[in-house]
Amino acid sequence: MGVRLKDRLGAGPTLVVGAVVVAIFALDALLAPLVAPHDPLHGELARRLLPPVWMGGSADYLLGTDGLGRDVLSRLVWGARVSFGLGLAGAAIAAGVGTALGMVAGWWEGWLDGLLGRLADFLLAFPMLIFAIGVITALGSGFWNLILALSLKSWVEFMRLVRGQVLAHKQLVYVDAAHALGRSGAGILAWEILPNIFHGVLVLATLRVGYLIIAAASLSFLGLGVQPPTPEWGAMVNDGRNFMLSAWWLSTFPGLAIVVLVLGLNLLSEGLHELLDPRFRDPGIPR
Amino acid sequence: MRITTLGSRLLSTLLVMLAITIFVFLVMRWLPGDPVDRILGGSGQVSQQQLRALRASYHLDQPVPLQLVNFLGDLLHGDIGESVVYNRPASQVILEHLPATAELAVAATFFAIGVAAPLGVAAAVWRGSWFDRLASAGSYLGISMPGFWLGIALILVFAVHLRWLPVGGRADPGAEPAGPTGFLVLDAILHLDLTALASALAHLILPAVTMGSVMLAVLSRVLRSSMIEELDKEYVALALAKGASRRRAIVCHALRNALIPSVTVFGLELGTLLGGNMVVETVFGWPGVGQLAVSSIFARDYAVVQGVVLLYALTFAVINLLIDISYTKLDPRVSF
Amino acid sequence: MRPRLEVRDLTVVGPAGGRPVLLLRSLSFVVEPGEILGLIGESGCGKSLTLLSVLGLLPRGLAVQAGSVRLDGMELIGAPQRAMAAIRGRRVAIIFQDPQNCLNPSFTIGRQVGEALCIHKLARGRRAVRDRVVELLTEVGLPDPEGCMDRFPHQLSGGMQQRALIATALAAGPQLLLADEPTTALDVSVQAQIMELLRDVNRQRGCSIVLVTHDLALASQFCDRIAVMYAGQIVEEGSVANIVHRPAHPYTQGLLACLPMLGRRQQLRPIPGEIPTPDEVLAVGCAFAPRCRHRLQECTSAHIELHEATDGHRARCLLVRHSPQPVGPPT
Repeated sequence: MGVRLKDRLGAGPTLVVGAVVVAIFALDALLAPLVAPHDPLHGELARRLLPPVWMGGSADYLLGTDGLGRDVLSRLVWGARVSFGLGLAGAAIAAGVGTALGMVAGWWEGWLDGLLGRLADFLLAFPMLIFAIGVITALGSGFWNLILALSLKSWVEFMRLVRGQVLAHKQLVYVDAAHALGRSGAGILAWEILPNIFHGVLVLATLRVGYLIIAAASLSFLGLGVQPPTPEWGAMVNDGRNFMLSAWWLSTFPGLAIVVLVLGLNLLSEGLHELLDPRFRDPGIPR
Repeated sequence: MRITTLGSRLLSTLLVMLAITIFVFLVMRWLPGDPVDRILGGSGQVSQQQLRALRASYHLDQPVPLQLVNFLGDLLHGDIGESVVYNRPASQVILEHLPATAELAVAATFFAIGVAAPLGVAAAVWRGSWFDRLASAGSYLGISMPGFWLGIALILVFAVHLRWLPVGGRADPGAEPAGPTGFLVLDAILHLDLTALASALAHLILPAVTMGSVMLAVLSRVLRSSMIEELDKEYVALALAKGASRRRAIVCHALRNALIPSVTVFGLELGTLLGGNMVVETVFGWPGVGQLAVSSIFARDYAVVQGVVLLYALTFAVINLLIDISYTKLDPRVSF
Repeated sequence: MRPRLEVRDLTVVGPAGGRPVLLLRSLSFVVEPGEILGLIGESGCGKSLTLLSVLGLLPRGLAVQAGSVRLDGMELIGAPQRAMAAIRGRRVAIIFQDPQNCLNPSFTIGRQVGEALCIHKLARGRRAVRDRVVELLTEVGLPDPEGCMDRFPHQLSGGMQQRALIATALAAGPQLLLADEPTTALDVSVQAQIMELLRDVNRQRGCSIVLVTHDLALASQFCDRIAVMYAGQIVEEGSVANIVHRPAHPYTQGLLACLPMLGRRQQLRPIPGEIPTPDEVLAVGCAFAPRCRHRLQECTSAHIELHEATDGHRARCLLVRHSPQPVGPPT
């Protein structure tokens, strides 16, 4: 297994590039207090709207400062915590809830499955941002409400994926074997089926983190997500709009950060898909 | 058999639409605070009598299920409440802003399909070439870019730096034809007003490109993979063996079948397109329903917000139904 | 009289495991007007590839390295695309193996059968095309031709689909029909019907047919002459009678020995070894030598030509050269 993994990795630059990019951002988010040169919330009004260092700015503020004199680089670094965190939390919750519900729906079927199906149809009728706006209007904005709104809509995809997989795997011989050995339904689900379908969930989850980062940033951009002064990339782009003509870098860099991170996540997802899928495609002989 | 299955599909769409409406109704009722306070916007002294009258007009003195029935009834009459900002029926306000959004959405869709189709086909026909790789990289980039950033970047480059295109808005001041459709491009054509047409088109380009970019990226990838699958099939080889030109085999035969799975994806992406509408209108100052929704949320003009959310969701549900129906026309193997 | 099709020293190269290998090696055969030639061989010998080469429709990555293919004297190798498109369907047509995949699922039968007519401008106007298509559908024996026209492929059975495909191939009136395993995907009872149809086409239209198949028994029933292929080369060719009763090449003998015969209890004798993949084929000498019982030292040391056993009956075997009489009857 180890040898084959190495062969596979060699064949996929997508995976490597994606993983490296994501790792960099993850490290940055974790080590923000150590990496950021300045306090992201505190600004020196005397030094506001400084350009990046290569455009005549100061070496203290490598990427310049914003309208309130806050260091753009520090806000970007801390913003990773917020933006990446929003995406990760949202995707994790959606994956967790969706997988659990999907396993239940696929294994026991019946009225619960039908109900979940109707619920899924209903939720899918809403474009993501519209739904999120509805929820946020009702509950107010803020970090956790944002995560709630995003994951409330995203779990559906995971549920459908897992449900489909459970339905397919139910038919395979190894499940019969587990039954014969005396395992309970829940036990089979958790210990036999889940390990086999986990890779699909992982691939989808990685993809979804990127999507949710963009969704969260869009809502924050509109002023409906994370509230100031918390540094969030989307909100930073919005702040920069006031200075589009004079200080274009204020909107450009946070957006660029989003693009690079999401691109890395997409590549990682693609790479994981290439790596994991074909191997696990045939875990058993159908009855 | 045909009619009944079509009927059941219609029924399920109607049910979903009903569920959406109820959802919106419930969400709005559960907003913290007294609805009446919200409606009044804290405008100070109001007599008890006026309060009672207001409550009655909003049916707030009735039990919730009855409120729901009233709400649905009003909805069917096109009444979703009064806009506190505009002091007019919310439905009227929304309808006024609708043509702008509709024009933008149509333009974005045409852009997305118009570029994705040749791009996807070419990438499939020349698979493995530098063109294919470039298109693939481009589409990865397209799905990684948030719409608000793309819009701003485009403005910075084309409007601020190069000055080729305007920064925002729908048209140059004074160049708006008072036309029948509300679609500036169509109205300008109907009035044979070239200045207005040029102005409308120039203002439409950047927002449409921004709004359609994600759909473009996704569609071109899906089309590419469907085309690759179809091009490998024997009926394409047979078409060539009958003497068909390569172009005929690619477009008339392979593409025709590759469109089928692409249509499903198109339906899904249309939702993303509509969702991104609010962001794009905000960035470009486009006076449509999206911008209205955002400003209404901040102004606490809940009747309007409610109306817009309903509009988006219901439109999407109807469009999905239409796409399902069109599926049967495209693929003879699928019948209702 | 000039042969309908003349293939001479056709060599096709393609990638196999990253390296270029020869898939067809100096292939030569001739098809006379009005005759049915059977091209026999097992999987991987290159018989389908031969047909595709004639049409100029080789898959990606494959190319004709050398040789000539002449249709009624016209050279096809290296001909410009427009010229090739003009003769495809019109002067030479092909029928593939699996009718299900060869018909476009989104178009009606009528439209697909009539397509060649429209491409080659043989009928003007919808009325004329429609009438012609009905004639063709009737000719191939489809019941209710008028109704069939407006149906979609998935609504027809396998046998009917294959008939429709034959109608498609005949639409523009080609004088050469290439049939790539036309009955392999069909039920046995339907197979016979389709083969009869092809025989009728040959007789009534005077159409030459190249029948590619792995079924020697089938070929012996319907063909006038047979050419046996092995590892990208013709190893034996001759009249059906000669091939079946007096096979000269050990491979042909082996194939015949593998055939179970109705009514006779016998021991089937499989040919030892396996068919070599294109990159395993010996560079010099006989490709069959590794599996041949009668192998000589010289068999792997020099290039072997087709040697004449009797009139019109040739085999690529040194044993034939040594003794003009074939080596032994099949047991």
